[in-house]
Amino acid sequence: MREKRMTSKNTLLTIFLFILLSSSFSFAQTIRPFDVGATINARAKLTINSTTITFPDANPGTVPNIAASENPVSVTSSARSNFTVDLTVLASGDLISGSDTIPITNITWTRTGTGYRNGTMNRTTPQLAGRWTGSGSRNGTFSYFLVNSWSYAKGSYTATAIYTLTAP
Amino acid sequence: MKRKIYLITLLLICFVPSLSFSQSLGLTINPTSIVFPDADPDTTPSISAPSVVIVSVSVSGIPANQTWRLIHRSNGNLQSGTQTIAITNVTWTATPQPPFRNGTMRTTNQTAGSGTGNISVNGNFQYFLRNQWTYRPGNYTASTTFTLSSP
Repeated sequence: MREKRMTSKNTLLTIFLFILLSSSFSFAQTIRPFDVGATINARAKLTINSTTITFPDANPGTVPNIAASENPVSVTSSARSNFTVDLTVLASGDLISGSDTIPITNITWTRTGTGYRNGTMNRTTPQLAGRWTGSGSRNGTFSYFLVNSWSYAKGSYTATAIYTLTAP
Repeated sequence: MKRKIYLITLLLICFVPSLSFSQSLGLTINPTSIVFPDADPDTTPSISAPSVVIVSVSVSGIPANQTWRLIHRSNGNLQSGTQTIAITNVTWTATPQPPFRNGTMRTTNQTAGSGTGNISVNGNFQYFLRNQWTYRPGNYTASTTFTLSSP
C-alpha cells in the first residue's frame, strides 16, 4: 500500500515536471546565417585645384624669386594601397618662348600637408612631391617660385609638368 | 487512484502542450550573402549592396499579446587577412516599418524587427557600406546572423 502511494507520488511529480518543461518550450528561436562581403581595390586619385600657374613679370633686383599668381595651389592625393604611395612630378621640358628657354630647374615649390615634400622641377628625372604608406586621402598645398634673373630674354614662356600618383 | 492519474496525464498531454508545442517561428533570408562592390569614395560615399535582401518572418501559434523579435548581429568586423573595416560602417534600411527597423551592424544584438502576435511578412532589407579612402585593398568578409525569437 505504501509502495503504491509512493508510485502515485512519483507519477504526480513526473506530471508536474512535464508541465514545467512544456511551459519552458514556449520560448523558441530560429537562427539564420547571413554573410557580408566587400571588395576594395587599389586605386589612386589626384586632384589639383589649378592646372595652370603663371609667374608675373618682376624686377630681378627687387624680386629675386617670383611667386606664382595662383599660390597656394591645393592638392589632394587619395589612394587605396597596402604599400607606399608616391606623388611625383616630371616636366616635359624647359620653359620655352620661341627659341628662348629658361631652365625648368629655376622653378621650385614649397609645400604644406603631411607627406608632401618641397622640391625643384626637373625635365629628366621625376621629382618626389609626396610619399605615404597605405590608404588615405591627404590634403596639402604647393606654392611655386621662379628664380628671377636679368639674363632671361623677354617673352611668354610655357612648359608642361605631369604629376603622377602611384598606388601599387 | 492510478486511473485518475492516467486521466490527468492524458488531459495534460492533450491540452497543455498543445498551447506551447504548436508555436512556430519561420525565418528565411534571400540571398544569404551580399558583397559590396568596389567604388570611388568621392563619387560613391555610400555603396549599395547589389541586391535587396528579402527577410521572411512567420510567427504562428502565439497569443496575440506575445512578442516576437528579430535580432541582427555580426560576429565581428569585416576582415581581409589582418586588415579590418569596422562593421559599424554597414547599415541597412528596412521596409515595411513596422515591424522592421533600419539599423547599423554591430557585434551586439540589434533589433531589426519586432511585433506581437502571429504574423507572416516579407521585409526588404537594403544594405549600405560607408565608403572611405582609408580602407586597405582586399576582399573583406564578415559573418552575421538573424535570430527570430519569441517571447
